[in-house]
Amino acid sequence: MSEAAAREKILEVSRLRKEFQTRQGTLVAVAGVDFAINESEIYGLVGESGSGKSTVGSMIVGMYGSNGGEILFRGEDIDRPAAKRSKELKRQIQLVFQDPGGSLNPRQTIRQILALPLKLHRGLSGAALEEAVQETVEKVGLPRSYLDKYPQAIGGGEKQLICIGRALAPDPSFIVLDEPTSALDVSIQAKISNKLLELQEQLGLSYLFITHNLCLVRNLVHRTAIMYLGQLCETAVTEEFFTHPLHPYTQMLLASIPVMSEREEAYKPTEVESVGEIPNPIHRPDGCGFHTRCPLCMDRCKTEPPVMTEVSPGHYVSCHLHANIAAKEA
Amino acid sequence: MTEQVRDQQMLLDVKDLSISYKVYEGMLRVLQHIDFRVESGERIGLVGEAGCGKTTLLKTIAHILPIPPAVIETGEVWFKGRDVLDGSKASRRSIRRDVSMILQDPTASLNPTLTIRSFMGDILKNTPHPGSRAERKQRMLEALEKVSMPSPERVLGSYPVQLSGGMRQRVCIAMCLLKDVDLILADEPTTSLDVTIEKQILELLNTLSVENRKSMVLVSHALGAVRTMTDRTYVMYAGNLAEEGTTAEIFDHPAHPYTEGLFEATPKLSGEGVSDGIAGELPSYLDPPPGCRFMPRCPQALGVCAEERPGRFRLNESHSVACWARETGRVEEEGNP
Repeated sequence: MSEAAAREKILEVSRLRKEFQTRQGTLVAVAGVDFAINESEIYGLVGESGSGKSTVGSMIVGMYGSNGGEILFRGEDIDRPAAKRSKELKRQIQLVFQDPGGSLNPRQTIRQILALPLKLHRGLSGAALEEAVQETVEKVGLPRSYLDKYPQAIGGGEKQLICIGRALAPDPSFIVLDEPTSALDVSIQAKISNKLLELQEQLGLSYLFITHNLCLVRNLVHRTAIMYLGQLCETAVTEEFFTHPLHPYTQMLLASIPVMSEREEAYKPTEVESVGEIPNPIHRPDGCGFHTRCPLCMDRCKTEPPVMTEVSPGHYVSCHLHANIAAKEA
Repeated sequence: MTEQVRDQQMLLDVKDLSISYKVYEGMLRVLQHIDFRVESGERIGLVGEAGCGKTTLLKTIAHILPIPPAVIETGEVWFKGRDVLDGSKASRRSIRRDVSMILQDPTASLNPTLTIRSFMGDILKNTPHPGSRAERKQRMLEALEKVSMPSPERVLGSYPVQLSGGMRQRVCIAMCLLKDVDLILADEPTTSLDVTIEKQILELLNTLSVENRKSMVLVSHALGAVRTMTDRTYVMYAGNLAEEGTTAEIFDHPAHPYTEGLFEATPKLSGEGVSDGIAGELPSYLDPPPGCRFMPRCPQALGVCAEERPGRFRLNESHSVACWARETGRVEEEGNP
């Protein structure tokens, strides 16, 4: 990892695996995922529904443990449910959900919502607590008068800002953002995205930004990774990722985006048609998970799973088309 | 003469439609003086954020608006030369026969206890020429093939839960085909789908509407889809029409400050960073701003905006905008009170 290695890694995920038992059989939601996030980096994890991107996020925050592989946070193995993690570790890693309405208690005021993490993680009380609450609400750009309101009295974007404030309150260093703007309108989404960027720069935070919106990723994150059927297909620095997409699935995704102008149209790969649907993860295809939809599928793809290969510095692709160089290493 | 010719081309003509909802707290004044036209064979885009009244408008047209709580304050909806709000059975039947609606969530629009065969069979049985059982099955299979459904035979015997979201939406479109409607109202047909599936469904709708010369109203959050698939576009904000024009004109030269803000706020694939979005949030329909409803969020607001609702100002033959800041210069006011 040429350039990235020079920087400190905050989070390292390797060979991560998660299975769920269902009535139809074993569902492999995450089937061996490797990536690393640097300090003060925004890492974008993109995928369609059912690709396992949220499962990865859930394991990092400790909603459940994995079925193999490891998650290192600043070198320490944290692959276990949150109940078994230290308080300090829980403070360091925070989470923002997709639906701000559903993740705020309707019977608590904003003040109560923001006070809880401050009490739990920073042990504040009395005047110091009140001061910290006010500081938090102002940090996300809302006036102090909001503290006495209930969640239903404020708009969707403002609710999401409160959720972000709640995640920031314990003073974390890493935040998992699981589709933080998907439930919001475009004009509000822009505001939230900007706030997230501003906070990241100001506080030196690292984000794992989970989303299905490639256009948002393009404008927001430092490095981008694509997930399909529980595995990573391609990862690179965002600029490189969007200008030289290599994996056929990446190309298909990019080609599918409806865009607003001819100028953007130029960024869409033209060679790949969108066909088929994501297969049921209970019945994973053999070989490359994408071969059932891939227009460039070869015989080899149907039997042999491809391996992540570095094709240019920092640009990794998991596809037999680009694997010739590192075939031996595998 | 002109009046008659226009009426023949005009499939749908919504005139001065205002709709409110009666709720415990009072009246939600949602739609305000909407004028909306669809000509025969035309494809219309309807753009606006959640809660701007798009669905209320479509439901009124499709005659499925729940009254009460909704109250039609003013206005007429002319479909094929008949006012469908007159309450007569004949007009209701005309709408049910000739208009089909594709909803955002295909799960909610398909009865989970029936098979696809029974949905589609019901439609055919109620057409003028249902045909024999075998003929009906043949026509169902043809419709499913037209929407590129994998293994149509198997799908006919399936229940909605056994199909994926994209396949369910294909079933809904196939049902529109069986009915041979004049107007398709597509209310966010792809919002619940993944981007690769969205592309497939949009392409399907596009080919079908072009090939069969069907009129279509496409409501979508995906502005790019509206840009490539429609002839004319209406932009709505808080129950008002902000702007209307040919799609190319709206996207190349948006005139209303709201449209400008909306387009700027949309993240671009070319990567120009993130704009600030539009300050503030949608006003309450209980007590909307008395003048222009966008005024509290508008960066270009004038004094008059707070007091008086803007009329429609014509920028050119096909492009008009409801904004006081665009009044000066080349405009003439139309008769909107």
